[in-house]
Amino acid sequence: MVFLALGIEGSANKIGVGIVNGDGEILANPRRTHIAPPGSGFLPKETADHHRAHILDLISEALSQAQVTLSNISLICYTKGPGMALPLSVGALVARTLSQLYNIPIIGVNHCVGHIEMGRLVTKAENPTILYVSGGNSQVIAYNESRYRIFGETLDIAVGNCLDRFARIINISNDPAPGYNIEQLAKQGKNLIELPYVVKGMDVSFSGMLTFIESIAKNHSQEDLCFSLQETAFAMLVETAERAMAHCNSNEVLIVGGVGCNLRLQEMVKDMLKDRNGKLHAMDDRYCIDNGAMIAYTGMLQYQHGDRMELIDCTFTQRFRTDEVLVTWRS
Amino acid sequence: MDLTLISQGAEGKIYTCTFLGKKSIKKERISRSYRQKSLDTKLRERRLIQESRNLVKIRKEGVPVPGLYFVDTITCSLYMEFITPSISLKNFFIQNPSIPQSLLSDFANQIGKSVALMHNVQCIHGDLTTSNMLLKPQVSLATEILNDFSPADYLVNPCMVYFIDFGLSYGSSTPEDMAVDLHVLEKAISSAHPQLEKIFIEILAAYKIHKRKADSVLTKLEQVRMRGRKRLAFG
Repeated sequence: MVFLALGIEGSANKIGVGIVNGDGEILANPRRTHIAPPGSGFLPKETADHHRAHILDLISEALSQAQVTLSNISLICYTKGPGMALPLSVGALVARTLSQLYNIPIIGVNHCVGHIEMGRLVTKAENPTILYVSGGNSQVIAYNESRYRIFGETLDIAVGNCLDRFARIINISNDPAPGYNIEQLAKQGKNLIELPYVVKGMDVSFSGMLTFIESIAKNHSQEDLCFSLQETAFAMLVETAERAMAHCNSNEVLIVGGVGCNLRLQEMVKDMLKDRNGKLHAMDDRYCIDNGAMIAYTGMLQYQHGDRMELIDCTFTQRFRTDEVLVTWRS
Repeated sequence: MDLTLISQGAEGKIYTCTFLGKKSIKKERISRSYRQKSLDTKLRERRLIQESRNLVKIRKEGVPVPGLYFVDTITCSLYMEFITPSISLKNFFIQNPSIPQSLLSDFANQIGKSVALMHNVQCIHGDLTTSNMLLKPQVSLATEILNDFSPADYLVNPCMVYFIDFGLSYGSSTPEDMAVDLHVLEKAISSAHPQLEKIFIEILAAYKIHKRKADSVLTKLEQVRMRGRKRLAFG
């Protein structure tokens, strides 16, 4: 019989269900996104309501796409954290219920590790330096001695959070994503406004930049503001990624997380790598945007390497650092 | 000039060269095409000046750093003393799997003291990692021995810990900035040399002895650490 893992992801504004087989092949991976009105972010309660309204349909959709039934599923995986508590609770609850109803083993997965493992599977990158940039995280990560070690990270807000909040300040639409709309406006930007550039070793800070740009937003065009914000924030990320690469003697970069979809960021990383003869593995929906398959695949790796979870331990947590996970499946 | 590239960091290219007849290091901050021209120029110039000022300033305090020979503001290059023979602390740790505790304590003391001396004159290094510390033997040895000094030789000869790469250094007198500086070091050690994590405790102990008003920095360090834990609220 084929090993099939079903993964549920719902740590932020996306709810996704993925089905992956033992070879890491994605059989189904549908998702829905909760989009907040302009000028507002996604709030825990509304997001959880959204997830509750869609999760059962998504499971049926995934099963029929994969042409299997729940009794064929060998393992249920869900996002244990990090994320917003209420949205996370929806995925955890449904995962526990399915596990008991159909008597299937269950496993909780670290969301960040999910991104990384899916990225490695899809790109076949051996041992890349990982730039993890999303609405909740900005980290530079590299693998060392059974853990994904965080070499650098934001000292305050995530880069995606900075972009999202900036979009709210100047009232840009959240559809399909605030970052996407900023990227489009930035293409028309001409003048680089000087913004605070804060790099401390391999760490970065974005909150000062956000406060500053808010204070001058009235004096400049939307296009120039978006352009300057992107250019400055991304230059900080690229610089820290390069510093980590130099520190670890690595010459591959894997970008994961939602901000990784930004073509300008990809271009800048490529540019940096050209000087070092390095290689970029970038952007693919399967690992950049939150989805169920990455949780299913990572949970499967954990399970196949002996990780087990009792029902009582199948909780969820808002805080769950990437380096807390013992990586048993890499040697 | 006989330039030989020895490393390419995020900051720029490091060459060995001959400067006024002396074997030297040239650190050139190359222009990076990934960032906008105006930002690129601003960063390179600002860091060149900060680095040269701080090198001179803390050398006076007795912190082992390369002597500065010349600052070229046109190409954004520094000419400095060539520390040789030397090995980065990072490579030393990697290539010597078992290091006697007494040696580790010696290095920890030197590091803690030097960081304290820098902070005493309001100089924040900004990138304290084990790649940015060099071990140089303190014995006078014949040239042919010095020329093929192996990683293991550093175990048996007393060494001085030199600090390099002040490219991200800046002046500040706040406990916050000093605590962040220490936190960068703590994370660099725990991420690159997890088995040597304990050395940081000794570094802090030495820091405490030599830093004026160390308590306010160490209290702040606690807060900075907590911030790191708290930050991961979302996925």
